[in-house]
Amino acid sequence: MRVFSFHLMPYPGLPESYDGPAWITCPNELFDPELGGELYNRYLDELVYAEELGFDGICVNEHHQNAYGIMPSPNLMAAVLARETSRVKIAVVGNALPLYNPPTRVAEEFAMIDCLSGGRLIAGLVVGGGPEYYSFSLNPTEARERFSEAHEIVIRAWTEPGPFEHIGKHYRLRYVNSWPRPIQKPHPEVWIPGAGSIETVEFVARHRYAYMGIPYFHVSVFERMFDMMRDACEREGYTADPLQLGWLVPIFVAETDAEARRRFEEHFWYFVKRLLPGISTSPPGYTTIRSVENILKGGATFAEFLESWKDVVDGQYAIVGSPETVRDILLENIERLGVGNLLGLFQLGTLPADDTRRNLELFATEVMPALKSRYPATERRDLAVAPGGRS
Amino acid sequence: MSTDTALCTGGFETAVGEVVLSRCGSGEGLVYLHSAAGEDALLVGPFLEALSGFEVAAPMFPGFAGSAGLDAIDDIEDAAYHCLDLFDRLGFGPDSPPHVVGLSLGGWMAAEVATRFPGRVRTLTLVNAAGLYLEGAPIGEIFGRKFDELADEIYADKTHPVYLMAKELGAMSIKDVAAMPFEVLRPFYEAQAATAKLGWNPYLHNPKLHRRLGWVTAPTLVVAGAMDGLIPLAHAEAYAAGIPGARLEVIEGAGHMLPLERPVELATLVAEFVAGR
Repeated sequence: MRVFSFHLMPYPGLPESYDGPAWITCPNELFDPELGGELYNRYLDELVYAEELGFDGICVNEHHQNAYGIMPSPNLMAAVLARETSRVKIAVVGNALPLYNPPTRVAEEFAMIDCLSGGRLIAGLVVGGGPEYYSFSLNPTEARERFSEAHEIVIRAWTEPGPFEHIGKHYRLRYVNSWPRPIQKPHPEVWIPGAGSIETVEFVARHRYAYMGIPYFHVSVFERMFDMMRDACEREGYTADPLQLGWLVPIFVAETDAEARRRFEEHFWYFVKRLLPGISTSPPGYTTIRSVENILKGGATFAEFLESWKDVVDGQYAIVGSPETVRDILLENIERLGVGNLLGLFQLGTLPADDTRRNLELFATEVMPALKSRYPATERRDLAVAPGGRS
Repeated sequence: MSTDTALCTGGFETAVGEVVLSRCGSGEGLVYLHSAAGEDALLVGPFLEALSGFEVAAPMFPGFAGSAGLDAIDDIEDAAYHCLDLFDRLGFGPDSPPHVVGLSLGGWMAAEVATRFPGRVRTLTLVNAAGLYLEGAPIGEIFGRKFDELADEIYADKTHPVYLMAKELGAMSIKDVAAMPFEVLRPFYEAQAATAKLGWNPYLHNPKLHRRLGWVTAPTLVVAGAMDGLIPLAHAEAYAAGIPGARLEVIEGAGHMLPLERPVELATLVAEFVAGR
């Protein structure tokens, strides 16, 4: 098991009077640059602190024109983190390939981060969220084609001697010749986040990458997603390694269950009721029609529509409680989901800095050791695995 | 070629795949190109049947109502060639070009065909046509909208059954929608995806179309619903000003979906225009 601290870098300052979506059309007058500067520095500190506390890695991600996560360039953050940490994996989950034109930009910047960090990059490659196809006026019906073509370009740029030519449907590049190249060979570990679209799962399985389940659904949706991934790997002729699966979930630990809920609940509701609205926007043609059906069914359990704390707890939308409670729930779910990567969100919504640090400390000292000792493997056994075997 | 007067619908082979085609009437050929709403024979039938004196063909564009072939179409240029292929296969070749009537997205397609292949269109009727970009008069957003809000913009007739249905759908919760049989929702998702393929960006227009309007040789009737909340009247005016000899008709009190809101009035207008050209 590998444990990561994932930061969304949310904007906590939406005024009470604003009740619109946090995405696409959320007025940027609501962004206070002074506050933004404080937040970036504070959030980076929280990620750096995770290394000190013994986490295996830290994660940042890319979102545009929204209050949910004010990190349009995760690569800038990863560059800072590469300098301020020395041991942890730095997972950029990920770069939205179709938003980079030409996508060789991703090959270059990721290679820079890998070099800067001494080979600690995990390269997340994503299609980009539905809202981003509005924010970039990029045709969503081309999303999958562009992703797939850009992916090929990036991997070739890292693994094949340049210059070479790529002539495809969406990109026509006569001289692909990425300087620098990454330290890790053949290339950095690739993670692909997904919300259950079949074509994404099949793509990940085919390339033997790792699949990160996107959070904020009822835990049963994750079960279905990871089963789908394991099935897809079997169809590709191998058994999925648990380290090919990642579960992203908000976690909050305090001395007692009651204290944890008391300190956390309002920040969680800010997150789901103020920052999630708009995130599930699915532009036309963004997924195939069979995935639309799948996602529509899962969508009814989306956290934005939660009504009570009981539903949060029952559906395990967030793991909140004393160290014992959090440890037990996590162990049970890790077993049930069969995941080898736990991606915890230790800061959420308006959760303040001191609560975030205390949360990270309690988790690292009281919870993480139990997870690591139950599931010691941190390297992929790669491919030759007994059926059903889990580390 | 002649067909029975009664409206019938079936599969029709084209270069990109089999499309759904409705036909009725007899007389000179007329092709109706539908809007992004994908109004099929059930909805647009009264308009098609009111077009007396024409052999009417109403193809569903790839991606709409189960028509195949969208994979072979990337943009509006491909759409124009698909129309040309349809004309040929319908027997409306260069020697007997059809009258072409297009609504909204279909109007844009009709204008693309008439500018690129002027001899292939006998007369052109553009109804609340998309296709142009006019500064200060943007086409309203059709993607990612709530059904009921969009219906408020496109229907002037607030008693129309389609309007009422959209209002009902818009009032449903996400859980109710997810619980619906997917086959009911499927055509909507497919129609939106097909439209996005042609008109996501540039948004429902071709930047080159405006300056090409002078190439149209077909006698042209431009029709606009005065209450269309989606495409401002300026677009009809720009088409009428740009196409040599075009005539502009504004229908008072009518909205975007003219063939549904005013089937007989629109059909009469088209027939009179064709007769008097």
